[in-house]
Amino acid sequence: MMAFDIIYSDDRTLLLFRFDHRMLDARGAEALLNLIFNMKVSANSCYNKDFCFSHGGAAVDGKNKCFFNGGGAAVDGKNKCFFNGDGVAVDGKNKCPDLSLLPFPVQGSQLHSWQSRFVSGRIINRFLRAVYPQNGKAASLPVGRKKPELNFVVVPFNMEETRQFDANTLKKAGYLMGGVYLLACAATVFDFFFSQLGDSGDMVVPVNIDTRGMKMASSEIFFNRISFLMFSIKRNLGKEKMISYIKQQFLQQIKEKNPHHFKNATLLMRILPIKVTGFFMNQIMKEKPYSFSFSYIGEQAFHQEHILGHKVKRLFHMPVVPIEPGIGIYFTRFNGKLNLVVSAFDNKAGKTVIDFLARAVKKEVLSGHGI
Amino acid sequence: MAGLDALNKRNAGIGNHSQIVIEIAGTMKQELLLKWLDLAMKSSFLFRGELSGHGILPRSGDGKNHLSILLRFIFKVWICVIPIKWNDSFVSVAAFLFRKIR
Repeated sequence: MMAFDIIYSDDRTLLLFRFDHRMLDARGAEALLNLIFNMKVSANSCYNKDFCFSHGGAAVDGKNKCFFNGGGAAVDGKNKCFFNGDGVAVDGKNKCPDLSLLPFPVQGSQLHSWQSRFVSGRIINRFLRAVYPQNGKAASLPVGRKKPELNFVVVPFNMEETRQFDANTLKKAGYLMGGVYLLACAATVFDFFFSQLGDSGDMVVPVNIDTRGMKMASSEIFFNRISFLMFSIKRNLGKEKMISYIKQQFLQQIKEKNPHHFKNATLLMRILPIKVTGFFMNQIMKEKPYSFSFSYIGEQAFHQEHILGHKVKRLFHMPVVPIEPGIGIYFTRFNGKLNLVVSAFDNKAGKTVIDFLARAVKKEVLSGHGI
Repeated sequence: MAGLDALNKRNAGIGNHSQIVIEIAGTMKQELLLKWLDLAMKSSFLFRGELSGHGILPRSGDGKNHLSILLRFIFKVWICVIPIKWNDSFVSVAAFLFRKIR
């Protein structure tokens, strides 16, 4: 269900945390990493006989190795600890404390309140029927071979580019409307792209949103807590109109508490194994394909500046996009800097296409003009 | 950018799982990470069985709990088929029936 990969490149390391959505959603996974790397063992702690943390990295008994010096930096096993193998300080004063246990994420499975969940399901059902184009299918990418593989393209923004994005957002969409602006930029690019493919249908875009607050409680880490907003976007609007069009829909859906109803209705599906649920959901989505998936996570749940003595330079998500629409544009923000990831199945869009889309979306975000 | 290029090349074959990528300065020793994760897992809720004690995961080795979960699934399957159909009338009927049964 969870796995770590390490990729070494030049003078940096990429730590990949892979996880299953049966267990975590993306922000929950980020919070779990934060929890794991935030264990209170920064000083005076020992584990087994060869894994200690010391303040100064000064000499001990000459047997044990120390992985950290006082500044938290790795010391490649050459320096030695304050503590011996039993966790007792050699100066006889300090004792190695027990490791702080991680806070326990208490939560229930929420298999109750069926009536309210059914009511939410009815509201969402009506909403989905209203938002989907009545005269045919939404614009979507054609399907290729049956067993697709997932591809990602990662495009980072530097601080200056992120400031440019903030300025464009404030100017064109308004305060706290970063997601709306980014969606308009992505939709502008896809509008152009679908036109090139000869698809003239309106676009329908599911947007993943997190209904948890900025400060996530440890009890909210597990399970998938994603909800949705759904946007119907007309073609050939131009960027300016598209922003106001999306903003209007956004405010309306928030006012009608659609994210709450989506989340509430989705809880009904917890009582089925995910594979069965996924099968049925994929069948439904194949009948009514969407144009592309989108999300913007503006609030990070991972707050560590260092991991095991190494400075954290960047964090970004590489989410699996649903089989339909098969392509997604995902923005995250870490330490103030924006990251863009395009995720797509290769039966929908090849590497060249998603490279083009990623660059075009970034250009669109920075330029503030139509494509 | 070299790191990202390596990542972009690598992840085509990494499987269909969502990932979070943390880019850190310097070279982190694999041994160090493994020890840390071992430490984290052994000292954390994940391997203390506390998740299972709160109805999130089946308790390991507890046959009765597995059975009760299975029975609960079977009993409730009929409910979850209905929202998948996503039809108003079905939802209304199901909600009515469920109220009566409860």
